[in-house]
Amino acid sequence: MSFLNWFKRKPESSETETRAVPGQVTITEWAHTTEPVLAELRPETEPQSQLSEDRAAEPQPISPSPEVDPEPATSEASPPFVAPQISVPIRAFYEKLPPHLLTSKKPDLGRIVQIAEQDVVLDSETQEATLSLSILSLSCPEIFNRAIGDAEDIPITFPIRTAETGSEKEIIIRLESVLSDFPPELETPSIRSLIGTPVEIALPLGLIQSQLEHGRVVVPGEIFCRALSSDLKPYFATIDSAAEIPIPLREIFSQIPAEAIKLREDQETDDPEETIPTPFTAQAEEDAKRFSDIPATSTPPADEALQPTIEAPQPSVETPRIDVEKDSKRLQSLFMTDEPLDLTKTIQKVAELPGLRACILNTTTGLKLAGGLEDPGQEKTIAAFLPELFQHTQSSLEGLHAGALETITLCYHLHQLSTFVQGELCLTVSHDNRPFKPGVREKIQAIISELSALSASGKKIFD
Amino acid sequence: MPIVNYASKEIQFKIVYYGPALGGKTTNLAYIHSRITPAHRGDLVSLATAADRTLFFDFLPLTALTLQGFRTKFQLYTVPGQVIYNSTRQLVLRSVDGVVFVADSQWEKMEENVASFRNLEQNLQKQNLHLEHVPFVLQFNKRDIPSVAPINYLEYLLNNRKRRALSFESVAATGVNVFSTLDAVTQLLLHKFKRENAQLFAAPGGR
Repeated sequence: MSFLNWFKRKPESSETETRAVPGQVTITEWAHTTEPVLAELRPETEPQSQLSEDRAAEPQPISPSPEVDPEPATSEASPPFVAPQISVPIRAFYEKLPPHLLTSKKPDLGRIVQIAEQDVVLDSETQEATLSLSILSLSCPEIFNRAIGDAEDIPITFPIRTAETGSEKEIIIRLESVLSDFPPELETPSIRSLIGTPVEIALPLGLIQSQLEHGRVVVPGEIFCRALSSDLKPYFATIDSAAEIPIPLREIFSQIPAEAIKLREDQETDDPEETIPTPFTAQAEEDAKRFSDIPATSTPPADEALQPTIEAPQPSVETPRIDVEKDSKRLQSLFMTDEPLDLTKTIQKVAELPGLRACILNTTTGLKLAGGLEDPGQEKTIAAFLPELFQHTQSSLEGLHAGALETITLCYHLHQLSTFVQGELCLTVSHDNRPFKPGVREKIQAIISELSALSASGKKIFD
Repeated sequence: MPIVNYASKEIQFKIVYYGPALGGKTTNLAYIHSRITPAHRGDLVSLATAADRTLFFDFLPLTALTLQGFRTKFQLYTVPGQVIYNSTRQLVLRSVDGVVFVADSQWEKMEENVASFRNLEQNLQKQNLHLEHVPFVLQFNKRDIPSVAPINYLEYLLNNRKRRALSFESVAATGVNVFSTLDAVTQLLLHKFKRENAQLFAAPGGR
């Protein structure tokens, strides 16, 4: 390929990376660079099915919708013929490229580039594709430090593997979960109005699966919009076809088949024949013993939570019931002590954590349970105001989708007050005018979670 | 490469805690520091920003067992997890003997875990090192949080190589599996040291 072609063909091959072009073949499923690449060659020239109104209930194969899914720019000019193209992630061939021709900045290896099918020799037997370096460089010129001249041109072969055409599997995703993680820059009031709508969409499983190894899954706006039922499409009309729509992993894993993620079978593990005692073996064994009967989460076991309890008549003001003495194993481990803990001692120990000055435990209704602040005059105000502030902030900022609010810190001239709310409990600590020391915030969070779990399990309150 | 001082009969190992920002690396060190007898440890040097984030690195020196007449010292380091501090991470990784990768188990941190892991591989490569040859263990931290990814996915993301590393589920804030992780990486590096220094072990007391 001559140097001139660099300029001649660059625009059409690099700008339409993720757009579907008539006759295009999409490689959507990839494995590791060094292994044969999983690919699904899906000719878009195959007959397209019509979307039905009740698509949410019965997902149909993806097909473009004319009203919100206009033809790409190349089609708008009504070309008489568009050469079929294949879409390939850069990772498929990146390591095959001569390093001295590459830019120093490593590109996004997951980015899809398009190559005219006529330029590629596909070998179905070896499941490999071959094309010349100069042609490849036209598809992604930005990863090369210069144009590839004839003298440097070499064939580049990279692995692909085709799946049965036309039998693409799909994964059903709840639209609500996608909207919960929707990019703020793409979110419009009309899209926001859909939050809470119980609708499901079907997305290509291969496309999702191929990205799982990156820890993040996105689908191009075009594919996302295609998956929507026709009554929902207008809500997303402003979404660019190349925009990346993140699909929450948690949602994917609630739907994905178990075989979708598999560790390689040829793995080897280090299995030393002898054990060398290390200076840390004793502590490791000690900790293992200490933590052995502690559940991984602070949630009480289901059977414990469901146990019928014989309770004394409830007081008029409903207070959480915490029997710290009986259930203090986890608290003991949190404080690394064997000393029996009651609620007062627990709160006292919180106050003794590095950097803390005082600690008070209240209910969210303002009832003081244990501890106190340096200035008792502050206690009433804090008990009345901070839980409310916390809950108000939490509900007001729900739209940020930043996860559960854990702490609110108020910075005063001389000290700081941080409030942790969990269930019906509100723990407020006064600390030095410095941030929390490493691990202290997490420890307080674990303590309030444990106290809240004990309270939720309906145990007798410590007086 | 451990530093062996034949004059003072000391071997010094360097273990680096690597991983994404706010994943629990410093918390690991803080817990270890709190559990080791003061006579056997130095101060935990921690330079943190106002938001609890490691600015430069944390450092915890530990003096411990005697190996063939040599007193062993372990230096535990953490790296700053934020992407921008890569040159600091490269500096801290120099002459590393063992690596603990502390992954954050929360769903929303998966991409950061992968990026940090790749960054570790790249930074090791710059020193002509490869994870295959460095004593290395994985720690899946924050397992007490309700919204965490399943272990098989974390293994798939971070442990899907030919040589499968030991991995631990941990809650560094409370200490769960913090010492098991440290013990495992120490075992690995002592085995490696023993293999590579057969002459030292053949002649007790060294040369």
